Amino acid sequence: MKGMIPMTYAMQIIGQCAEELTARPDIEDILTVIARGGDVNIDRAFTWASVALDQVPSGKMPILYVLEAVFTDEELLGFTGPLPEDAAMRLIQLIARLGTMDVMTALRDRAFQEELLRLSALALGLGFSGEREATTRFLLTTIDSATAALEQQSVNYTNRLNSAKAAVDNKHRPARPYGE
Amino acid sequence: MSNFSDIDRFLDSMGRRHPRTLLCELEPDFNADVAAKVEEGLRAVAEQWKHASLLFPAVRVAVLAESQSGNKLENLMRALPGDIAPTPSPAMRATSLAMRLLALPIDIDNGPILGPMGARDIEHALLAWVVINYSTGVGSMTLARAKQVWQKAELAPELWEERIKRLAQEYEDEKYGTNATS
Repeated sequence: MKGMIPMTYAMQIIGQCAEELTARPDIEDILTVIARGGDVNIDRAFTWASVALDQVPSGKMPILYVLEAVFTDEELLGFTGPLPEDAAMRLIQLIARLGTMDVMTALRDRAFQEELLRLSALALGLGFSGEREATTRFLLTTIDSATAALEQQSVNYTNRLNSAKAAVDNKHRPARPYGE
Repeated sequence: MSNFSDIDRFLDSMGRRHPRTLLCELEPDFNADVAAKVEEGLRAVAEQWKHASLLFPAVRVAVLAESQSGNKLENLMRALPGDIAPTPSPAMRATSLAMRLLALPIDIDNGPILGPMGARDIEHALLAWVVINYSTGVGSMTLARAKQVWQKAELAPELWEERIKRLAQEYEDEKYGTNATS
């Protein structure tokens, strides 16, 4: 079925790409992997990438390279079908949102690789095969750590605001004499 | 009444038209099929970051910035040289900007700040972010005013601590009449 990523194979490919990445890729390397991405209009695909590339700090370029390498893998494309022509721009948004990290080390972490795959799949409108559907949906909606952090901050905000108001009430509560 | 009547007029003129329509109006040569796919991409990014409610405001603001900042935005958005990739068109630049707005690490849908904010205030705040980050004024939204608007909107979690202090003070003033001196 088109539009589905075989999870086991994708994990194998991303692991392989991350291991083989020894030097930091430059823009040309990234455009080279975008170019092998199938039958989309390559000029437009380059332009979409071009207009968003300045949003990726140079330190995070290896992530973009690895993701492009995974999603333009010939065998994987057989499962997913051609990528959207603005695929690079969509991937760039999620990379720009990732926190600061030691990129080369993080890229070799299997948990990080899996999260990258899941975030990328969401951005590209792809699903996963080889997993129970309920599990996939659950993971796709919960594993996004950046949004989870924001949700937590929202909850903290409400709690802290309520505590601050309670502290105000406490300050104005009449003192009770000892023994009451 | 808003302090940004020129900006409001422009936003009002967009009515409730869809992102793909606005992009095609911004650039009449923009292919309608591509525009539909672009809207799909923008929606995916918006949903991914729990910013579905920002989809329309982000596109409207991006179109506004692209059309009103003259060629300043074009110069500020660094693109690859023409021999590598064709120059991005206005619709592409606006899309990139909208996508960037949708991926901002700010409060999420139904969050404590975005939830109660009015649509126009959200648009002003997003435009302020564009002005600050691209250092280019858009109409009456100058850099100085943009900084005030962004600070006041308190969309970014790093501004929430101050907001809590202020709201607690307002709560105290209102409930216990502690602002009698002001």
